[in-house]
Amino acid sequence: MSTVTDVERGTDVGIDRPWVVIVWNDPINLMSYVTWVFQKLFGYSLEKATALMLDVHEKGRAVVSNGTRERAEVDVQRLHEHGLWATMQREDA
Amino acid sequence: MIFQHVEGGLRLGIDDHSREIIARLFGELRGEVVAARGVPPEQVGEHMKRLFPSAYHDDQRLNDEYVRLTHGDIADSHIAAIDEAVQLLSPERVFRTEELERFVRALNSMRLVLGTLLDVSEDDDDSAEDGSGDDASQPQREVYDYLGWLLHASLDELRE
Repeated sequence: MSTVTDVERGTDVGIDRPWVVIVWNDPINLMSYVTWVFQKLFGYSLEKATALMLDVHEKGRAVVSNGTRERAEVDVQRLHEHGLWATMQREDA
Repeated sequence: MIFQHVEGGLRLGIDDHSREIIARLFGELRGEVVAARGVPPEQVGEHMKRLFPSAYHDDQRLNDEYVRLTHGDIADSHIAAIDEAVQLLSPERVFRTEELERFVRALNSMRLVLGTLLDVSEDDDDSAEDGSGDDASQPQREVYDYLGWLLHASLDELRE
């Protein structure tokens, strides 16, 4: 995986390391609503959206998308607009 | 049937009292979102923070940048959904599926705020059944439950 050195901050910055978008469990959102949002925003099948929703509910979190930082930020913002608790981080973080 | 299929789309078939309560709550929610839009993100009230979550929980600098860039847009998106939802509450209003999606979003936003105020937790169903809930919040809990029922029915309609 290629990296570049950020001279100013003296740190390695992965330029193509994928970012992942994580949706976290919360006690308010309905499971049916979370499933619907996954289908609507990401085009997932009912089966895949339900499986991700169950991961969120039972394991506390699920990775729902990945890609560049910019792509991940767009996904996070859309999830926030739909009231889901979503964050993003580097895939290997 | 909560949703009546009529020529041109759907009509919401709930009683007038419920319409009035939901419309009033949407009005209050809209005021809260407008107020949240007008203040720095860090000053948004605790009960509204579920509508404006963090994007990076391990990097404050990136999160500050994200919030600076998106706070207004996210608020505007919530406001637009609420405004459309209010229109759908009109007894004679016939609406399309796309409009129902915004109604669903607005209902969910309202549940998030009300649920935060009620400090809803995963164990809440059990505590409600054993009668240990706070009586003073019972009316709000009934509204919260009603909104959940209406949201669930709306999602069923979207799936059809």
